[in-house]
Amino acid sequence: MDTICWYRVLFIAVLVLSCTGAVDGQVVGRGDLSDGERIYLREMIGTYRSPDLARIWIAERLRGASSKARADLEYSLADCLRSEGDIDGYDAKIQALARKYPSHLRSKGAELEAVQAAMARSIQAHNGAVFETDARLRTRMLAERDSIYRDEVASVLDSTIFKLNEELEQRADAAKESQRDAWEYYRLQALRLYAQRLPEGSAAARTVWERLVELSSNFVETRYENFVRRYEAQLFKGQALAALGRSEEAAEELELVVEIEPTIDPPYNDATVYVIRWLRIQALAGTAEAWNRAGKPEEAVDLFDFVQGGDDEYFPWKKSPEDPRLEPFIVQMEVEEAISRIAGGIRGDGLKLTRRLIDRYRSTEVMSANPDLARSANADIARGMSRLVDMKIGGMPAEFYFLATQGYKKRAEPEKAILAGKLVLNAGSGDPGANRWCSEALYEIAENSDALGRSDEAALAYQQLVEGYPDGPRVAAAAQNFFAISGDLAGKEIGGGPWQQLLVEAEGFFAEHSKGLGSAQLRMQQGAEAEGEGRYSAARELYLAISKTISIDGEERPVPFFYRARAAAARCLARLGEDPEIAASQALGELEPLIESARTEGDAAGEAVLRFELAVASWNDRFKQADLAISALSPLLEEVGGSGTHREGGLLLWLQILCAEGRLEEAERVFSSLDSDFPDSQALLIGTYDLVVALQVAAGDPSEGAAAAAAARRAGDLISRWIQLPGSGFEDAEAGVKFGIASILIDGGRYSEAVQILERTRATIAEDDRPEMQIAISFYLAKAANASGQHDRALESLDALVAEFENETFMGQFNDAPYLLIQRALANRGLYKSDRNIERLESMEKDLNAAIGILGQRRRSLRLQNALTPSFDGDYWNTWLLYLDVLKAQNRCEDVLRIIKSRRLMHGSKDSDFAPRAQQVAFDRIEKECQ
Amino acid sequence: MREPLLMRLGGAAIFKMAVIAAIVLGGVTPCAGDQILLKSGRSYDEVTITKATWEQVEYRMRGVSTRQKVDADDVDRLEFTSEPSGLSRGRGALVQGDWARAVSSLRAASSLPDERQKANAMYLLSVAHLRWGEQDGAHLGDAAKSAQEFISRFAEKKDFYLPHAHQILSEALMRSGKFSEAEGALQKLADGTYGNRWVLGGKLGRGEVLLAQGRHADARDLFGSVGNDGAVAGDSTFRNRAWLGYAACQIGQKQYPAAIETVRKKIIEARKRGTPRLDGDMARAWIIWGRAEEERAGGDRKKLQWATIRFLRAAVIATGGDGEALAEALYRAKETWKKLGDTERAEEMGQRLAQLCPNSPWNK
Repeated sequence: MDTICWYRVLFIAVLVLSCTGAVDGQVVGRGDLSDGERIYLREMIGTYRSPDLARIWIAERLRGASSKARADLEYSLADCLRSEGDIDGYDAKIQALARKYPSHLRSKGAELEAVQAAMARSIQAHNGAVFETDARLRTRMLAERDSIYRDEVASVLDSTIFKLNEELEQRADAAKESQRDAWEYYRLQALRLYAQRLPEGSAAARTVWERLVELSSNFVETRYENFVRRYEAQLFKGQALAALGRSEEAAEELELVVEIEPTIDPPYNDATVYVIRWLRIQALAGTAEAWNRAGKPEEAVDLFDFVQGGDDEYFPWKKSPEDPRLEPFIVQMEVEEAISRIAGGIRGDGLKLTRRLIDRYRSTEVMSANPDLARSANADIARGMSRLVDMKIGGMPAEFYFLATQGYKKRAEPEKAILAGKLVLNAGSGDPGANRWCSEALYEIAENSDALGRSDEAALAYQQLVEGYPDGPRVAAAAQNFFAISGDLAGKEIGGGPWQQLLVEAEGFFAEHSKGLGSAQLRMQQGAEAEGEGRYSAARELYLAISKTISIDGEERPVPFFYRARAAAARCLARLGEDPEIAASQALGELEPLIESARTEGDAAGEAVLRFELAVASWNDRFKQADLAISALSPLLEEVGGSGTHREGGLLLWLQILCAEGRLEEAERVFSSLDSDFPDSQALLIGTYDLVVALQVAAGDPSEGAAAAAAARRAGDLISRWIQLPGSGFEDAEAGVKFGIASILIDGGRYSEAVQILERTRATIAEDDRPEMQIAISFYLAKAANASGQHDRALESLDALVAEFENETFMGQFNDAPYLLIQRALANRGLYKSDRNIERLESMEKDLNAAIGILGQRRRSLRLQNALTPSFDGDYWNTWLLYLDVLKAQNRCEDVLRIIKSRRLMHGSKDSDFAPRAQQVAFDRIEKECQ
Repeated sequence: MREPLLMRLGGAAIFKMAVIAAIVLGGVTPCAGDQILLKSGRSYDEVTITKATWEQVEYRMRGVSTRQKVDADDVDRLEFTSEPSGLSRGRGALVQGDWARAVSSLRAASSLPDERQKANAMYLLSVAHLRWGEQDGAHLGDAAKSAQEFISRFAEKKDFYLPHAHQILSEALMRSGKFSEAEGALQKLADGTYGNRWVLGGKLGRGEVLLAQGRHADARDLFGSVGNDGAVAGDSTFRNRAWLGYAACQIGQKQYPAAIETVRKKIIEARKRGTPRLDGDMARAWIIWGRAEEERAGGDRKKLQWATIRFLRAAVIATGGDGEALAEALYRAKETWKKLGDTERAEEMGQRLAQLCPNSPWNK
């Protein structure tokens, strides 16, 4: 049975195993994981990349799992994330598991796994750069690759290893030694992975390779515990020497591994055979690569002839069916052999071997059975072909030169990719059989030119492709790109120029190749880009150029996004006018007849988007006409149904307008529609939070009495719900955010919920030794205690806090300092109501005086910066009111009147108001009571 | 003590020499896989080329014992799979414009025992010397000498590349300023020794010699007569040389709109023919068009911008192996950017020119 059939059998077995458990409801296994189960999981996730099937099995297995097995299975779920490419999710999950299961073996290595996750992110950044056509973004991604490696991989590895070695010098410890070796081994792997991604021959690459030589030599010479790692380190050393051009040394080092044998006698178990073959194959490939890079492929050919001449009974170079774990390495070895033979031996043999590899790993059979293997094999072949171009090997078929362009792309060398593309054109010139490759090559020349910032040359290469290969595989994309770039370049021509003429030609090509809607879609896209860059006039022109219908195969068909385009054009118009009111009314004038038209045609989605833009034109950062905006949006509630994006956006905007206007009753009605029609949506998440903020403002108005209390309660209810909504990110939010939410819950009367959140947050910041964190936790817990009437508990906690941080509190050196004093005053007030202890009033006076001083200073500073918010201002004046209440309770009405008179005079005259309306009423009342 | 693997590889080297000896002595062909590409666009793939003269190319198809023949005049080029690595390295260096390496590899390959491979190497060596000579005139003498050596060595065998070698010799002499000797080198082409097709080749060569002397009108007549000859309808190499030469003459005569029209028409015709040839000739066509635009632009910005676009179209397809086409395209684009006042782009072009064509005389 060949390899592919074996895959299929295994997959079917996996499916049967997975489904059987699910269908019967029977638990697959119980207790700890067996060896077989561990291997099964490893194969499912690692070799066959089936995390979805693995999850089904894990869900079943968890039912009867022991606590140890549960930990193993949860780590496997994390591995599923990694298998799917979600490195950030994996990273977060293993950190969480390390806290949950601190004694688990993987938890002890959790930090190393975090470094490995960082390395994976660095590689991701590199891969992103390879395919990026925007030169600036490309540069940024390469910089990101380097900074992640430097800061999160290399420096962590070096410092951890240094620390471990220091500790081992103090005291021998086998477990720690094993840990150190694992870290050192990974450091070698990381160096190699990073160096392979740097430009070949560059100074940066040389530095990294040289370090790898040094460290791998040291590892081989001093770390004896694990023989496989030692041999692998030997391989790394050889590969590094080859990359540095020290080929003879490289060959000598690698040759030591080409013929390694186990220390035990045969027969050998499967694991031994696998490891020995794995090491030998890599060594042979590495040795050949060393000779090829040195320009001595004949030596590599001799080596291949020699080793293939004798057949090792136990450790064959190749076998059929092949072990799937070894196939990727065998591909690398064969690619090296092909390079050697083309460059240094019988060219025809090398070309045939290359052809065989290409055909195998591009076959549907292999690509569907093992897409990862196919991808990595094709990448290795492509890199191999690029190395033949480096070696200036000529006379290759056009297809092989095209593969070289792909190889250079993977090596992040766009200039060389362009060179290889031109070699395709040269090799395929006049040969109809090479048309496909010439078409692909021009596309690569264009993309890589674009990546290098040469947009005009990119456009011309696309143009060449469309003109020369109208039936080629990339013609549609090339026509689109030619159109897009021509549009950009034409837009920059002042007073007309050749690109405006070429744009007309490009549009013709695009219309011809895009099956109708393509040019309209491209205009939408270009319009959005222009708008995003603030070029409203250009954007509007593009949007207006989209017609209502388009002719496809001689038939007029509606353009589905016509109203969206017109809405966007009106939006740009609103942005263009200097006078926002006039601009808005012009946009309105454009939109209203379109709304009628959409309504007549029964286009609910079109009407929704037009109404949305009408509302935005009426209510934005330059112009605020809430009633106008609301009247545009109100039909969305009853008349315009549907679950389209613009109805959702329209309802959210309406809710936001009402919240800003303080029209909370109407806001609740709109919120109710959003909740029922768009549950779990992003709009509901944002809308809930906006309503909470509005309710908090209402709750801060003491003149509203019961209504303010109701608003605070409602805010508490809503924030409690908001935490549970998908996408809130509450669990992962920073402590500061959680404190704020706890405060809203406290104000809303949900004390125990607030306390639970605060206690959980306290556990997560246990190791954070910043005083402001500890202060904040204690403060909010005290606030919750105060609000729930546990004043003595609150006072005890606050007294302790102030005692520890007395100076910092009274100097206002941390953010919550004045609020801490206010809470202590409230605690004393609560206790005063029952024990009438005068000392409490004195203490309250002192605390509130200090709080007013700190808040007053901050208020002055905010006013100067024009950043004073109503919420802060409310807090300031409410603190004054508390203070005056304390004075009044001390029968110091003269002081109360003096203070109020002084405030009035500071604001103009003895009758002037000096506080926001809500608080002014309270000042007026207390003044009257004291008179 | 275990013998190092490297020392044990001596056995493999002996094995390899035995194989080579078998090839030389026994005429064993290790593998089929050569290609004969015809001017019509058809090709014979996976064949073994057994003999190639300027009259015909003989080949064997896989599994077929009898030899087939094709008229050499119908052949565009020959691709050999079984070449030794030194020869294919020389080819590769030639295509990438690394003249020094090409000369070194091909010189070594010129001593190969196999006659076909020796002929290929010696011919390509003369091409490499000539291309190098375009950059550095000191190598033109080597170009003439190696072309002459090839002719002497393979005249009797009527090698496929003989007429091509005459052209190389003529061009080398022409570039050295030896115009009458250059014309003399074309004599065997002109007198029909190599057949009717090469009579046209001789005319083209003569036209190029006249063009090099600034005798635009005479050269133009020759180019025109070849270009209009029905025999070149299916021969893109000669056809392109004829019309490129014709347009170059028009530029020499300051007939810029006419030159543009010539090139434009031929590019459109080429496009309609089906399989494009995006090679050095096409690059040179774009350069000629750009030069004509630039010359007639005066100070007209738009025309200068168009000229730049033509030069960039050449740069997009030209390789270092296309003689000086890539360097010239980059240089001319740089100069027009300067005229347009875009110093940043001009500087960028200059840097690319220095990086991609460091030894080119266009680096000025």
